[in-house]
Amino acid sequence: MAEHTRIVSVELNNYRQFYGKQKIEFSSREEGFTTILGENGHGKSNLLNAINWCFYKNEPHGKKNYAASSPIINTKYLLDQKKGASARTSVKVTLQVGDDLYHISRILTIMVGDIEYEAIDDDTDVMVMAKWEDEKIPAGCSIIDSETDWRISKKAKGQTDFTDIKEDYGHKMNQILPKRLSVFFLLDGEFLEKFWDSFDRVEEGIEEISHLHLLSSAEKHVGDVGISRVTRAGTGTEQDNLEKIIERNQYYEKSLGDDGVLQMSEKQRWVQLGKEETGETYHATGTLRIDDLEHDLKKMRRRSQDISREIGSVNAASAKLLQEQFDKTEELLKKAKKTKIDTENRWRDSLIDKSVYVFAKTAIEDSVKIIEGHLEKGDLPNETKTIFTNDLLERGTCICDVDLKSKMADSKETNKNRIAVMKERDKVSQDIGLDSAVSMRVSFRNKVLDDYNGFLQSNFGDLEKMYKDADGTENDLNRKLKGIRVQLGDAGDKKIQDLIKEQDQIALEERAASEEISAIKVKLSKKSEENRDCRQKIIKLAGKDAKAAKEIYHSQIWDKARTQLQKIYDELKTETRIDMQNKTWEIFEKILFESNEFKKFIIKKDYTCALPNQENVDQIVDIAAGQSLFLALSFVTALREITGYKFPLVIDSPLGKISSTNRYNLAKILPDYLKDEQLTFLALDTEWTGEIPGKDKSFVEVITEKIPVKHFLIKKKNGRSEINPYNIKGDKPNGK
Amino acid sequence: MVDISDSIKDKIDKNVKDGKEKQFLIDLLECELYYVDQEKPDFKKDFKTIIEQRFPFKPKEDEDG
Repeated sequence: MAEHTRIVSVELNNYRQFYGKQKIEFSSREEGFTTILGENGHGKSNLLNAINWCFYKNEPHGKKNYAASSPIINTKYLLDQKKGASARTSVKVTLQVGDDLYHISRILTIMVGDIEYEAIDDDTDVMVMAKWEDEKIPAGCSIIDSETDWRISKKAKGQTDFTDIKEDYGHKMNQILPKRLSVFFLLDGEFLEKFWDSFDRVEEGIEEISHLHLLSSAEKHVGDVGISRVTRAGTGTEQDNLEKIIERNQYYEKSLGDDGVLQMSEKQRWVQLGKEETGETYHATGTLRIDDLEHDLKKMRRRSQDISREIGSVNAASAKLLQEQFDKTEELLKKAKKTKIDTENRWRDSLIDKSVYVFAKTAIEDSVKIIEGHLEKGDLPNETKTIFTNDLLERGTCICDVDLKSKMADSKETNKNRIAVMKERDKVSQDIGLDSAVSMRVSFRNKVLDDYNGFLQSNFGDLEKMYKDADGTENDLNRKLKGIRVQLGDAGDKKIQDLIKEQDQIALEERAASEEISAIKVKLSKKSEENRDCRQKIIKLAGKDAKAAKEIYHSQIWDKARTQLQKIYDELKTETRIDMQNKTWEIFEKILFESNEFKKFIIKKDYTCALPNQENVDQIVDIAAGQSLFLALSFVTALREITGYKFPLVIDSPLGKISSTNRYNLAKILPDYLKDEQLTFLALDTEWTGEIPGKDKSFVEVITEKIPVKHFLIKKKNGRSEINPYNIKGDKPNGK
Repeated sequence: MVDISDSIKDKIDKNVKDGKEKQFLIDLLECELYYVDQEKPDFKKDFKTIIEQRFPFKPKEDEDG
């Protein structure tokens, strides 16, 4: 069982944006978590890089070309040094492994020369980087070898000083944390975000951490040792033949020709449709051909899965866009139809109402002339005559002084003059002749005669145009809608058909490859059996030839060892895979608080994974960012639990990409996560201390309900990053 | 410190009955552990030494003689 390891401290000296000496002392798990806060670009990812550089001289985190485009030595510090002076950067990591302490330190010292710059645009010059040995340093500078060093020293329990270890440093580093596994412990945000984009990490993780690679490598090496030709044990055709059979079988297994030279077939390796062929071919026979086929099978399955997803997304994306267009056009068509009906009605009404004016235009003109003749003569309209008569009756005297006062007797008017005027008034009021004619004249003049062309245009021409326009719009929209409907039915059909065709082709090739693998395995098994028989026979023939007998004896042991290693590998692989699958699912379920969204987590024989939901639809690539992070953390945790590997986790957590509910859940489970292990987080200040939407608490407030957190803040001033202890609300004093 | 995993040791125990054979496999795997990240380890030399140590050949002359 591996011993517990913890990071005690990391000390940086003029490393990248960290100016001068910066030191972080990490909490042990008993003391709580350590969190390093900082804005983007202030150096969080470079803290991971610093540890990697110190351990393995590589910087895999953050921006891809970062390492190549800027000096590893802090630029401001570097430029402060005079030409000819030395400039130094170093990273020292102190680890506790079991009861022992280790210093791992890497120092790079350069001689400052005439630093070169190149213009990348009119007003920007950038420092040119050059390769010196295997480091990138500013062009014009050189590495001082005598002051460049990598060292591992140890202070065992009870000792007072650190002394350099005697073992090979590279070997010791691999024992502490192999380079290939560092990605599972120094977890950057991008790695976690894209963990399920490729199942290679699942394979690497399981194979490497569970030491399956040791078994497969040992089995391969044993096979290579055992292939050495058996020394001739004697003479005779029978033995010759037996040896030839053994040799031929071994050559078959190792894909070697009769001359013992590696044989390749002419068959091109599988490449995804549309991608350029690599020119690589399959091994001719044996286990190497199986390896090739299995490797390509994995690629085929992966592509097939991608196609399934692509089909869904092509269809969905096209259909969504077309549906939006369809809805919009349909809405416009509805409006156009209404406009057409309105204009049609108005045009029709106008035709009915106003056509008479057109037909009777001459008569109207004559009538107007007659009316105007009357008015010119002084005729009063009857309405005016009625008003005038009523005035006389009210006054009681006519304009000729005749008495018109009312004289009533037995409720009857008796004034004959008044009665006569009243009769005349009533008679006039019944006659609307000239009154109507006058009002008709105004109407005819205003509406028709004064601007006859205008009358025709507004009552017929304009309305007709409006109707025809509305009709045209309706027709256009109808045509458009029909087109969209057709497209909607065919949404992505062409592309989907191509994808289905590709998938079908892959399925055929998959089947052929699987069948070929099975056939080769059967053949290998027979050949192995045949070799055992041959060796038995040779032993009998070899008789007293001690040298030959020894080689045959050893070759039998190699054969046996190989079979044992193969069996152990197969069993362990299956068990580890199933254990990993179950453990990952158990942890993931716990993190998701028993959510029923997913059914189970599956790691298949070829290490591809699936996460079917309740409808048995694989969601492994489509899960939300938070769930993807949880699943990746669950996998990493399962790896540790199953293999007992004990290096601490440093997690550059992409909290910003996680929904508030998942963020809250994560904060809840973290204190109980890997309870015996040291955990360190790198996070954005705002994501760590800002309130989780809808939860009234920040991420750190939820965590500190259960476990103290020691904080550091990376702050950048004038281009220099500094790391200092930091107290935030909710912090326990000094993280204790 | 990293060692051959317990699960591999358990598997060897379960699958290999002979103590010498068990140790032989452990020796081979320890070599492999040492080869991690070595581009061209000299496994032929190392393995030959191991088999000579664990399984020294004893000629059958005694039986015949």
